[in-house]
Amino acid sequence: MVDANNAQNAVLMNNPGRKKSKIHLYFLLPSLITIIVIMIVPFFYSLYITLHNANLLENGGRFTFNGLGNFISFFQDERALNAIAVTLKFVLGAVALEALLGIAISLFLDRNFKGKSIVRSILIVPMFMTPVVTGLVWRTFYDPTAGILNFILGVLGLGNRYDWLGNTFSALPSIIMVDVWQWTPFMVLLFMASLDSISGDIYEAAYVAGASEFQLIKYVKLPLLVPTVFIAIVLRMIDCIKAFDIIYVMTKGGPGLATETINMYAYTVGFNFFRIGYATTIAFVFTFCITTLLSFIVSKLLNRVNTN
Amino acid sequence: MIKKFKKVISIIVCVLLSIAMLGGCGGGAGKTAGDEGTKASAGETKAEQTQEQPKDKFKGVKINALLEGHPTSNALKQLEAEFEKETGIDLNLEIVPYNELPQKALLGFSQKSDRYDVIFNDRVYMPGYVENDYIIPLDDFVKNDEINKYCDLNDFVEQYLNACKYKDKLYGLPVYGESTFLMYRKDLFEEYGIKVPQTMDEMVEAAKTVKEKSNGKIYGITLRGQQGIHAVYIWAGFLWGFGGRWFDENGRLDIATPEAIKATEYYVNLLTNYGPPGFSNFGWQENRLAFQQGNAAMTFDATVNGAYNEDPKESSIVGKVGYAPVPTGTDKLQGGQCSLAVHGLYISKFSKNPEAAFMFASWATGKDVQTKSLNIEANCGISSKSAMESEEFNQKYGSFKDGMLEAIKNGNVDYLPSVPQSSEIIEKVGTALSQCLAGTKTPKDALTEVNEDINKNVLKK
Amino acid sequence: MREFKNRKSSSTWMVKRGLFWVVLIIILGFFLFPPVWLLSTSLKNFKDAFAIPPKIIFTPTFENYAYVFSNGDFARYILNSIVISFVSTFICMLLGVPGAYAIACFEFKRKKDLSFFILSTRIAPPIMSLLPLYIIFNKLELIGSRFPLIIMYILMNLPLVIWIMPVYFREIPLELREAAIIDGCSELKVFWKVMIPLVRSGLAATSILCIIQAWNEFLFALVLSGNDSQTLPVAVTSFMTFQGTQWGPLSAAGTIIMIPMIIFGFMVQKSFVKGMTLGAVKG
Repeated sequence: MVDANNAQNAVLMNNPGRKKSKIHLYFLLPSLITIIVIMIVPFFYSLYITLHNANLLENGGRFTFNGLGNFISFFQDERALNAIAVTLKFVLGAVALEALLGIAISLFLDRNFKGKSIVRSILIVPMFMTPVVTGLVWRTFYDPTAGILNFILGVLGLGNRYDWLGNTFSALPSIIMVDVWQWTPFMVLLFMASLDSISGDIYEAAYVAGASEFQLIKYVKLPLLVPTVFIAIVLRMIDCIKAFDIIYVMTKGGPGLATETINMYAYTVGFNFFRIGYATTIAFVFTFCITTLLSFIVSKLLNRVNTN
Repeated sequence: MIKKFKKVISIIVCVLLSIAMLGGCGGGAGKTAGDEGTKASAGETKAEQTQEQPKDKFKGVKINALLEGHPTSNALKQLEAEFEKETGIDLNLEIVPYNELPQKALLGFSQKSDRYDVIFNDRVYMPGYVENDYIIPLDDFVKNDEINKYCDLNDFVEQYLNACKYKDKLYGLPVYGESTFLMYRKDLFEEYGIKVPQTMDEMVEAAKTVKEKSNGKIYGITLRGQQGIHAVYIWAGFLWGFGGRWFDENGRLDIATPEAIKATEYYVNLLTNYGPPGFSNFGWQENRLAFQQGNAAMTFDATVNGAYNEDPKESSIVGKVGYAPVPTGTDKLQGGQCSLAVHGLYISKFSKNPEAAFMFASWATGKDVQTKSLNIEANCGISSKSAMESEEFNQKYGSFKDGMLEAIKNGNVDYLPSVPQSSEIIEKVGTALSQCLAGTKTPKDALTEVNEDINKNVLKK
Repeated sequence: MREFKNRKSSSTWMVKRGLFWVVLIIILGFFLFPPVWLLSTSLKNFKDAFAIPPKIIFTPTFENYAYVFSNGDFARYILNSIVISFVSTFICMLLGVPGAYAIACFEFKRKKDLSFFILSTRIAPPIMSLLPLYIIFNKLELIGSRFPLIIMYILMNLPLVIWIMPVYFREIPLELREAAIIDGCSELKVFWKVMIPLVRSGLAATSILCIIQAWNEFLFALVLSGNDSQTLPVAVTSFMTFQGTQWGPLSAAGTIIMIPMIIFGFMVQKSFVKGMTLGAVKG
């Protein structure tokens, strides 16, 4: 594609009578203006709020200047630290599982069979189900007495009294499971498409060389999947970090603080304690860190992909 | 080139404008009509203040009420048309889940918005509303003969009415109230020879007996344990019951005392040893269901549960339930061990039609509406004494009415913290309790930590 | 694709094939179970819904749906969701597709930085800007109308359009664009008359993705909507009442929310996957 772009530029440059116009700006303008107007104003207002004490239950909701007070509180806040830890556990756990399962399932499905496109259509379903509804459905599955999961385990003789969402050890994994259910198909579809694009010649060569299925996977498919996997992981992480709906609907951060991610904590501080200034600060610091981290990763990634 | 560009821009602008109208109508219609109504009524009310004709006085005035999802709200929705006919006031009732109501109300208040005139909310939030000057006192309205036609303060259950006062002024009209009592299975107690527990020791003994004699099939007791307001609501009964309290004389949080720790240990042990599985997720509904399906021999929870216990459509234990006061753990109580939870209707300070708002609030809590609401939906937490004397009430709820009234009489208005920061305190204590129930912290550690945290960071004392 | 059939004996192959289908069914079953469960629960009465052991054969009833629609508001919420999702997507495409075209077909300075900047607008959790947005919309007296949500969803989906549409644009052979330019078409005409018709399927896929994102969004809708402008995900939580959760109507409401999205999903799965893939890999 880089070539194509250069070629296009060549066309533009070499075409006499064609001004080297900034036409692209006009095309970009609507989007940029929209983003700037809708995003920038609230963004700076948010920043403004982080420098103030804004508690809806104090002072009639008026803002009082607080300087960096909110930020200082944040770095001394144990609960925020815990929230960061939980968020990391959640994101890493979910995305890693999704990637692994995605690779496994896509490799499994990488063959010609009747109904392959129907399978793809079915796999789309979890991704499009409303997260709020997904959370509620899984919450009933996890119910200790009336839930399907315990029932199935009971039938299999594995005991059936587990309190999945009420136990500090199983709560976060249970929620990770829901995210995995919803987003593994994303990985699967992505990887399947990538595997589909492997040209037939390579398979011919492998066949001729007498490679086994296993060797094929190890030396051909996996390496070719790697760039896609990286990018899928990055894309997924961005969304996973913001996960809110399923946690809100399933545990609201409990039991104790076992499933309280940064996003959930910010919500609690903002809409339960009504300390909006501090809540905005939490979200702000968090966004800043993630954006920095991400730009670092993405630039590294793009280099890798381009060299590949 | 520039021409084409302008063309594109103008198309976009046209689209945006048409969207504005599309986006506006359907939602914004309410707002614009409200403004007109407001302006009209302001002129009218002043002119007609001398006349006593409620019907014309508020004609066309729009009143917006923010209501909890609650049987009373459902009843109000059904009876809306009646009110509008009688007073000419145009009602707009917005029903929102209990959890999301305070944030909607507070966001509006903090922006001094006149979006809602009347708020239906838990009195736990009332101190916060008053201290921040968000709601207005009602004493003057009550005395105003032009608008108090539906208002009869004597009809309210006294304790409920008192709970709606703050610093000697009346801020809300009680619309719902409850207390807590102990519910037990008369049949099981008889079978196992247990007498109704009056002390905490007796209660745990009773739970133990039930578990043993039923071979573990029936749980001794079921209680709410869900993190947050649910656990706190039930735990507070133990706190007060063992002689603890929320605040000391200086307004500092005082829940790290030996009494409080003892109460928490008792609560945790009781549930862990004799409670059903999954109790750490039991909110009001789950707990009620566990009891009314016959899984446990005792529960202590809201008085309104009585209605569900005795409803054959829902309960498998109709007629088998006895009602008794919540047990105590000591003689030296600092306050009642049963709750007094009240929800009231408050009037926003930023309402442009406070008088019309008061008419609505008093109508909604008047004996007429309360009596009618009994027939619309199960609703035994009403606040009108005469409605409670009615035939419908006694027919449906007579079996536990006495227990309920007794509990209300002894209800502790300070059962839950009533300071502006109540919400935060309840959330943090709820989290601490959840950690105790899960076993990740001992009651002593959890309570000491949360007590210090709240005093330092929340109450700043 | 390659065929390994001839390399194995018949019976091993059949066993392998049988195993393949069994595993496939298990995988599909796992992913399909929740929505199917939701649908079946919505058709059960309360007793059947949570019966243990679960009832597979039951008499379906529509009472949950009747209850959901019995209070006239729910129909309005459906309308709100439809209007808000479609309008915001329409405007978003209008604003974003030209930008995507620019990124795909033009070379300019700092293009990669720009792309990253646009992607990064998706990182911030909604809570960060919720209060400022509420205050701003309140001052503009827009709370309670559908406007705030439409605006927010435009912002939310714009990065998607700008990341996914270029993929489709890049698929169009260079020659077509060149030819049009040589013919003397202005850039705008090239865009409108040549490129757009050729990326129709991409437009469809991206639009549907945007509609789904807007349809399913919860937190902004929770805070910024009023009674009149409530959307479906928020309406679902209203079944978790003071009296406890009404699971029957809730599952009916959940099904109603879910079904249109699944239908849309089916319609676009091919194009959608293509867009996701190539967009991701080519960055």
